[in-house]
Amino acid sequence: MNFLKVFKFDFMNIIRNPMLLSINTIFPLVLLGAFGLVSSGNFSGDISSYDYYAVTGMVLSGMLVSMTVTNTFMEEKVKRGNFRLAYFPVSKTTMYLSKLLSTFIFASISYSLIILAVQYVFGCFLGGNNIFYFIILIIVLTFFGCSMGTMLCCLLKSEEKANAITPIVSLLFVIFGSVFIPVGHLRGIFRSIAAFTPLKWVTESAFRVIYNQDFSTYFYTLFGLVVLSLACIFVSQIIYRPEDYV
Amino acid sequence: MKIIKLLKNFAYRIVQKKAVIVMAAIVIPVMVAAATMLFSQKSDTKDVVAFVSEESVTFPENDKLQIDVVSGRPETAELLLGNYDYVVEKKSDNTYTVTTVMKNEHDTELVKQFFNDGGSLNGYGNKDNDRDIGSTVIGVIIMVVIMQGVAITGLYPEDRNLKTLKRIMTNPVSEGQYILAQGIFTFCLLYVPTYIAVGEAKVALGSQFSFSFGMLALLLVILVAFTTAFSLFISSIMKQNIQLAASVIAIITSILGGCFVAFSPNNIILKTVCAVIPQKHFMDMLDGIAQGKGLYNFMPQLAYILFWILLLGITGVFIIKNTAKKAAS
Repeated sequence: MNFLKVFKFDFMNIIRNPMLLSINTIFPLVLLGAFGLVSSGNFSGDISSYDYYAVTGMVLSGMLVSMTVTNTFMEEKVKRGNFRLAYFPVSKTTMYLSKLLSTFIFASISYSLIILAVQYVFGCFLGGNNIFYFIILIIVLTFFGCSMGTMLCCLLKSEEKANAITPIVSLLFVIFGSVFIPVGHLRGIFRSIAAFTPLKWVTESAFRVIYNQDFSTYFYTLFGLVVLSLACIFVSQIIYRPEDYV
Repeated sequence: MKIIKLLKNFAYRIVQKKAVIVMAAIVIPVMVAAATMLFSQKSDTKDVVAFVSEESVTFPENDKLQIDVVSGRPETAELLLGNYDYVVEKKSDNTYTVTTVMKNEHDTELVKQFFNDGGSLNGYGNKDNDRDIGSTVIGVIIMVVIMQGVAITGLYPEDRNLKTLKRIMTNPVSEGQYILAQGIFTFCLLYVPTYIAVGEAKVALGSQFSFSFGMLALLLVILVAFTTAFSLFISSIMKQNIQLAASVIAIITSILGGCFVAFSPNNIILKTVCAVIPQKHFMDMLDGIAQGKGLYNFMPQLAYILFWILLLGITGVFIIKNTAKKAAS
């Protein structure tokens, strides 16, 4: 019961904040449109730059959702509320999990709608009838993004630090996750690093599922993301102390 | 004198916020290093062709393409993942089809001729818009520099939110002096790590990096001055989620400004939109100077960036004056 109440407040906080609302609805569309536009000259053949960046742009958004978590978790207004919550008979798990889940559910709904719109309104190819596999992949990635954001908030304990570090961690994942540069173009040590980044697994599985109906890596990727997310939540559970945020 | 006192005050306070300093001193060099390594490896790698054939075929060695003979047709995903750049297949009438995704039409045409008529690969990969590695490195970090600049300017919104600004304003310090001090502070804290990092990249890359140290210093002054003006502006107009908004703006404008990939849109509306973005003019200037032109050839671009610096800066000062007045009353 308590959890639901806290959850409802956190969820409404995201919707009431125009910045958080637009970063999870319009921003992904602008982002993949911009990428597609900029690189359209470098593509030839049946697959356009927009098809390519519709996939990687969504992957990028699924990772950058960690920035939204930092803001739902640590914003000045929310912090005061958290502090008051700490005096109530609410378990600490409720406090951070509600932030995580509210962001996750909000972002999942919005990203699913965006993916459907990209395929059916804007005409990019995202798997045709297999589009739901891609949606599930992005939703699970969003869960990982949220868990990682929560863990960074618990580790760093201040809004400034979290705001400065979270985008950079995400961007490093993004660089090695074949979002800007296809992973096959990386050489030597970069290729080895890329093999360990979850984003590379996601883009690889996504392209295989969308263009070849090949599910060989798909379920391993989902499993890997869930395990990593649970690990992040486990770390958060250990280090999160409400009294640190006074 | 007052400005020096304000600067001292900022310096004492920023030391308390180790995160911001550490980030400025670590993030920018790390991003520069990553960009340098990623883009310097690109130039000496060959594009990979998958030649679908049952028999073993040998091709004369060439420095543009690496031709792998494969028995089964690689799947489309392999092209998208960049494991292969081209798939070449023999059709029934003994001609070859070339399939590709991430290669421009000019190069694809050359590859087609190479396999069908034994044409030469001269001019392959020499795109007009291929960028010098120095401009590439600077282009990639523009986004990070903007994000960091806003993080360093964080003291100003904090002053406002915690009502310290009101207390500063009750002293004989004008709003102009306050914002000037804040600007100088952001500029210095951003300029030093950026210059050192890019300078090291220049040393590491040697002759590939076409800007001289002096020119680099000057170009970064322009970039950091713009970033400072932007940081002051966005910190003035927004009350919350400043960092988030700045990151979003930095990412979108840097992509459209051609900081990562040089491009020129055909659509007139998009062309206008891109022409408004100051980063685009900065990149034009970088590209031109990398090709050996002098800075004096780029007076319009310089003037345009200067216009943005003044516009953002003056609007920032104007808004802070209003806020300060409200705070004082």
